[in-house]
Amino acid sequence: MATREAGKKMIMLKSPDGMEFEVEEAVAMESQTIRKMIEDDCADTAILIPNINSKILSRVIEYCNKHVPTTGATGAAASDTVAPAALAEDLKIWDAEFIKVNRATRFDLIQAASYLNIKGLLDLTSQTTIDTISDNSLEEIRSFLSTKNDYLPEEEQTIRRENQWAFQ
Amino acid sequence: MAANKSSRAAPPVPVSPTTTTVHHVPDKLLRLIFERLGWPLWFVRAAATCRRWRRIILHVYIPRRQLLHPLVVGSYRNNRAALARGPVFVPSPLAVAAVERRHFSLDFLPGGGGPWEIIDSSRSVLLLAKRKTGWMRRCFPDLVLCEPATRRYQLIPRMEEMKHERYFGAFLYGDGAINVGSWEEKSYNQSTFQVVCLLYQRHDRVCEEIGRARVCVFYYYTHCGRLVLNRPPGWYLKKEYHGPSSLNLHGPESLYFLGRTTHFPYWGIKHDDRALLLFKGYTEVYNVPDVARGSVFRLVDHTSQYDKIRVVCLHGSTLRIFVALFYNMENSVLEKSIQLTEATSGLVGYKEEYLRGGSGALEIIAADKGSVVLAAAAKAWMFSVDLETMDVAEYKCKKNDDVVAYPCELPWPLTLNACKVWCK
Repeated sequence: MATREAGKKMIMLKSPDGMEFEVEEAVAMESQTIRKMIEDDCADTAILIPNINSKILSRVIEYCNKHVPTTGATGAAASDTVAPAALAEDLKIWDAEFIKVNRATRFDLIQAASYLNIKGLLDLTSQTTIDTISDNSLEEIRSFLSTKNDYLPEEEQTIRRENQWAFQ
Repeated sequence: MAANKSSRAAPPVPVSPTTTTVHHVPDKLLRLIFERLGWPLWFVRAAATCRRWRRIILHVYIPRRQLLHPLVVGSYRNNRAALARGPVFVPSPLAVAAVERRHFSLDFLPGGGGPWEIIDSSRSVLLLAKRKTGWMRRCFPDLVLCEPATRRYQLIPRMEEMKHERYFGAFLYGDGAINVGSWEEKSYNQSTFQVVCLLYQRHDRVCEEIGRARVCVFYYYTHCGRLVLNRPPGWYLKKEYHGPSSLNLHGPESLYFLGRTTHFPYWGIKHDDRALLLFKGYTEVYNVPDVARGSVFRLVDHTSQYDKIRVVCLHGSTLRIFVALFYNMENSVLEKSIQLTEATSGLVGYKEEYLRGGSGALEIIAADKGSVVLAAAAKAWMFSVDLETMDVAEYKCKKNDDVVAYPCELPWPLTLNACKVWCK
């Protein structure tokens, strides 16, 4: 812990609702957007993340903390590097637990992942939506994702006629 | 944006997390999500959900090779029974649970599936020929092109002036997206395909049985449901080629089929060391590999290399696999070899006398990209050899089903014409 404070550069992230988060530079650089800001030297003291609220931002930071590459991480990770496969398995379980959130939070996380350009988080969050589409019938998708069927009857007919094979 | 506005109106809590729904996710982001769907069925489901999703999916373009799951939805086999229901469909593992088998029945064809026999397939389109009896069975047949998934078909009547000529086969060549439909139906996809037919035409005024291989091509190009090019759809008999390498055939029986690869179909020529290749509009004659001379052989696609083919040779009871370039078969390299007497001895139904009959004991029944099916004792016992692993397995097939399987893919790209505003 002592080495972390001594050796690591810290970055301040600010959410629009006024909360401040102090994170390691390496953690913040999981986000390609922030990485660019740091590399371009536009981030000296604090970075304002304009459209992500504190609740979501704290979750994103939690994700980045877990996923920061072990090479530059603290001593705790040293024992894990012995078995990278086990570590990956561990991360998968952690991810599965992490994504157990309500639908609204998930969409917030998707938007945050996209804005901050965190590929792993975007993959993780969008996979749930993909699974919903691939595992359920049309009516179930509509109710799970709360979309409304706004097709005119004849338009829906056209879609069904052109792609009969896809319907039960 | 919404967050900023609401924070000005109600400072303490800028965004209530419960308000975020899929409607707040911008188009660009939904598109990123949809790009990962990976199988046509899921794209259709997403597109059918609501208008906005359909609009976004229309603009998602994923090349067929980058889709997560294979497009092949199953395969068709011809049924040899006299009064059959027509070709039989067997779904692929992924499609078994997701897609209903009845959607791939061929009952929408004129007269139902019964009168038709599959002769070739390309992507989502099948080429079928009308069954004939008696001597007409060897003549130029009426054809039909169909897309089982969308239940559309296009009849291709035989070429009248060549209807009595002996026919060797017809093949489908498609470029880009194949989209079959009746000609008046509007569709924004374009379809470009050719059906190429190889015939035997006997020379007039010659006492001997001498003839030539002739090529007929059916062109079909449409765009937005309209025919393009100034050429009307129909059969065109290609000019005969008179040159040093032009080939005289001694009767229609002198050609025997060697296989169809992605590039072209091949025929062997009896009493000749050359093979006939059928291109889109003409034939060429190439030397067969030295190694294959005097043996039973078939040509199949290479599993991983696009410009290579495999030459599957059966010498007695030894199966040898050679790899050659598809356009130059002479320099072939031995890849694998297997002694079938030992390899098959553990299989169910094996009898020692099956393999004792010398060179004619075994025959190659079917060969495709992945495997070859061999039979002994007039198809009483069949087994398959995997061309990658050379594993031997018992081959099971329903009594009247043909061994040759024609793969069929799901249509890709999709047709999503509802509420369309362009291309009128």
